[in-house]
Amino acid sequence: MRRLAALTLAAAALWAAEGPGDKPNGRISGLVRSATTGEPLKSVLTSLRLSSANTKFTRTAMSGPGGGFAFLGLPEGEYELTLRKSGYRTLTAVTARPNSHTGPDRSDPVFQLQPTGAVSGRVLDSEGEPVPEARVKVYALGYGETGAWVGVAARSESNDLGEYRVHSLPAGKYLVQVQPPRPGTPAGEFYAGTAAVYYPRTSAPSQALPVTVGWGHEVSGIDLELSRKAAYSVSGSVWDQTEGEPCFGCQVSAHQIDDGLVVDLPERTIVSPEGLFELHGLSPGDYKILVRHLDIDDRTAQRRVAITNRSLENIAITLGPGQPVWGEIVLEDPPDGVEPTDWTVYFSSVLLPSWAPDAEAEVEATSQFRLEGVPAETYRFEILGLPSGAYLKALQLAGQRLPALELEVFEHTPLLGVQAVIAFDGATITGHVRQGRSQSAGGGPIKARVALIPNPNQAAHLKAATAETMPDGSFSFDSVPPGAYTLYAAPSTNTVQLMDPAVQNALQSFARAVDLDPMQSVTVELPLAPTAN
Amino acid sequence: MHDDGLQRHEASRSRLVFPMRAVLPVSRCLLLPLLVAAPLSALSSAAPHGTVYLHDGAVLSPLSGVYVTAKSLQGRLLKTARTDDGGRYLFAELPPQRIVLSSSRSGYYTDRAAGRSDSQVILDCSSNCAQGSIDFEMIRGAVVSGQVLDGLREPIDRVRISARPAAGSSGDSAFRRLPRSQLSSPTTTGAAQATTDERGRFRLAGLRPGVYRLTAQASASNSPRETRTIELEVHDGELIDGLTITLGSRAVFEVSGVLSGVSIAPGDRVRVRLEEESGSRRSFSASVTGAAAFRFPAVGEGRYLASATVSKGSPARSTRTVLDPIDVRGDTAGMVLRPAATGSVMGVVELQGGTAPPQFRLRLVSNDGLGARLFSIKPEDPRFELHDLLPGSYRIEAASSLFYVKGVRQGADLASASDVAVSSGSQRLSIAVAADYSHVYGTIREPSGRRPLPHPWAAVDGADGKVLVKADQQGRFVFGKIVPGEYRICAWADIQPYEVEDEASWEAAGCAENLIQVPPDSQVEIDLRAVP
Repeated sequence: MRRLAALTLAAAALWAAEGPGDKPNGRISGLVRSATTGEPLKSVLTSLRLSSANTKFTRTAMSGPGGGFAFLGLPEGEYELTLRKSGYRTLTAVTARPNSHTGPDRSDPVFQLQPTGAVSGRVLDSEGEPVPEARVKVYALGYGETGAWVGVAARSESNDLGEYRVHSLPAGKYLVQVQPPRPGTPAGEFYAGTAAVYYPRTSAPSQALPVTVGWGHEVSGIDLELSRKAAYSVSGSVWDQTEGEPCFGCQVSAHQIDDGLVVDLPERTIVSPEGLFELHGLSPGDYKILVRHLDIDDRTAQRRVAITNRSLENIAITLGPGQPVWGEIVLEDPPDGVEPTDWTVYFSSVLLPSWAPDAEAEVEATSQFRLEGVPAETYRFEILGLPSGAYLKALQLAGQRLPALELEVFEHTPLLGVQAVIAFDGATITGHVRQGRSQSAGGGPIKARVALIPNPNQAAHLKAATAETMPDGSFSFDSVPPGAYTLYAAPSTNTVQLMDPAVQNALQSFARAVDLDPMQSVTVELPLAPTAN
Repeated sequence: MHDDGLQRHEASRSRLVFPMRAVLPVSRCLLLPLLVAAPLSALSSAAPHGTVYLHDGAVLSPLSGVYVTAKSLQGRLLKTARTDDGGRYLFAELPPQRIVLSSSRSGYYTDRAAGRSDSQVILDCSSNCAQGSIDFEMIRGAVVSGQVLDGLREPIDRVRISARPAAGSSGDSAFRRLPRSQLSSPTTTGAAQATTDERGRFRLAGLRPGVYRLTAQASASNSPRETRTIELEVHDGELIDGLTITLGSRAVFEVSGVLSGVSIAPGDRVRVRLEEESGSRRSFSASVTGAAAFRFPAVGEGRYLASATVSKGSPARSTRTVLDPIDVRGDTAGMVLRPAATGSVMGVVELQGGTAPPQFRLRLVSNDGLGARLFSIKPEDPRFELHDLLPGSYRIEAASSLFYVKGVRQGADLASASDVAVSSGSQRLSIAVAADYSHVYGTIREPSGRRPLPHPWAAVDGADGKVLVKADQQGRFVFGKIVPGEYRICAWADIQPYEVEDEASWEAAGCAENLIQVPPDSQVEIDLRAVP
């Protein structure tokens, strides 16, 4: 008896049976292995899509007992290959070209899939009783050039024993949160208004204990306690100034802001015909209440509120047409001939980049810029199109230098007289990433990610940056504001977050410090951090 | 302690029997007495409170972590309490109105409420909500857990597992007129569902005892895209662990051989088709060479209906020959496919009541998995002929709701059912159909008979099977297009749909012998009093 893994081989046989003739006879094949154990992975769903032609040519196949797969009878072209298997991270957008071999090929490429991790535990109430149907959400804790962030990675519900298990997680740090069961169920009604709790037992995400998940590892025993502690509500009204009526149907959501972390909470509501809203289940802390018009994307409003020991009422939010932001570009010791042409002023929301719309305007020949209808929000200020060596050094308002390269736009106040100071003394860093601690330790160039981190207690315009190495291991940063920095490098395929202060601390011996003077060019040989997957 | 509890509950099962409710028969309606259970006996003046017990065999023990909900008769949730370590709950205050109390805990179901075989209790708090201890008994439902694997024993994630009571099971919820929204959770209907994780694992908890059809369906992005159903009997508190469901596991075999007994001339184009008997519509087709040879490179394990189609000339004229069914259990070379000894069925359709529809659409369905044949005839020419039928047991079904099948006469036998035995050769049939549906309608009132009861349930059980409907705000209900015949009928203030399948529910409501005759083509009005 033959057990064929899937229709793949049958399909392949059919293709092959059609013979060479005029039929296409291209072949794409490979072997799939576990990235951690190296063992062949069977039943990997492989999909092939012809990406170089305007056709819908697709094929799917499953890897066999030996981890091998093959697509036969393929027309010429460039294909995109995707490999998917339960419990493994999906490998996408692998480019492949068919060859004309028809028999077994010992040189089949090997594709490695990383086994994903999981977090599990129980949800209990304050008396130790299991809580079924509790909603467990796992947030990935990430570190970017602008600081730490959290984003929903996966979710689950506790079963009849109160047990939960959140799976298919890539290696990384996670915050685990439990929310009461869904409203409408008996348990949900019992816990109605109960605030979300983070592991181990806090309502503040910044106080949560991150859970570190490795590839293929399950972190168990992450028990969560759902208690009916006092939670508060925020209620008020929303007025659509453009339409001159209550903002009926607008969506109101609460986003918890805690020590740099912004967590999208499930609390959402729709404004009533009378223009009223009410959000429940909020624990003490800072929140941003965001209102969005569901039909007009860029019509938003936000209000920052702080909950201490009582519910907040009568929060009046106006969904207005936005405010003008006008200003000018100030050039600091510019080289000859520099004009602010083709420069663009770009605003992006600091706290809610995925929720609040961006805004941009071209800089005029007079060095003026004008943005109209900007919704109230705190924005990161950037200028795109600057020449080499130039960088945004400071923002000034009414002659005062702002502490950060950020602008806050208020609901009812135009923001005029902004000055963006551009300096031209940026330094340049070039270098190579080498395998091992030093060049003498051996090892050639490798594809890596390089992080440039400003040392603490310097000016706000010194920002972190990342770069990918070229195939020969080289990298470069230009227009770097003068100051003291530290450089780190990790393999591109590694998920270790170089922006994580804890990671930087652990990689001290692989770091390289640079102290940049104005317009200086430095070369750095950077060892590759031997971080494990 | 436990014995005391049991004795107390036995005592509280006694009930008052109210006098028979007068009814308002408009036409040919026959009403038998309705028994109405007693309200809760008033024991104390305390606010609603009680204890929830776990009923485990003969033992009752307090059950903590149970949510007891108080709802209005319209289903609006008023309050929720949760039982403590002693199984106790207490509602400090409830609004002055009629209240429905029920208990729920994931993995358990309510067996008795206030000493009655019911899942909830109705309290009248409109004037005084003074009640004694209102106790509930819950039973731990069965748990079914396991894993879904593919043919290489690898787990499949995101497979939807659903358990639905099999027809005839105590948990059967296959009511023709039950809104789909009622078929959601095991605590209300006996149905449950789960999704496999990345290890292919799943868990279904709180299943009531009975026979279930467990279906595993891979999601669209999974491969293999296959659905598998198994039947499973579970008992209270039973843990069925380690159940393995395999999708895409069927062995695939090469089948080759020759076609024999089918006339093939030079130049004919011949194809052999294999159609899976399970009704999956999976089929395989292969061309036949000059030596009448065929080859299927990869056919899944199973039983197949086979046919050969010979096409001649241009434009092609095709002739189809039914072949003997085949079993594929391994690689097979030299298989000989021969024409099957088929039978024919012919006869007439007789309208025996009601107005004839424009056409009769009927289905001859194999009881042995040999497929179905749809046929239509017009009333002015009620003859039909069906050929190339494989011998076996069949049934006749109406493929339209405009009429129903009353019976089938085969030869000299008059069958009250619709079964047909097909053998090789010809069989003559007479199919009796009718379109003389009736309606049963009326109003359901409170147990006291004073006022109409909003949104109660009514059920009939008889010639048209079991039919369950929900009345409107004014307690009005309609059983539309009922097949005439004898029915028993009952009304409940509230009932779980699966409970209607349970004979005990009818007995508990005093409706077991509550019979009505529904004449053909009639409208029967009947007023009912609901059982609390």
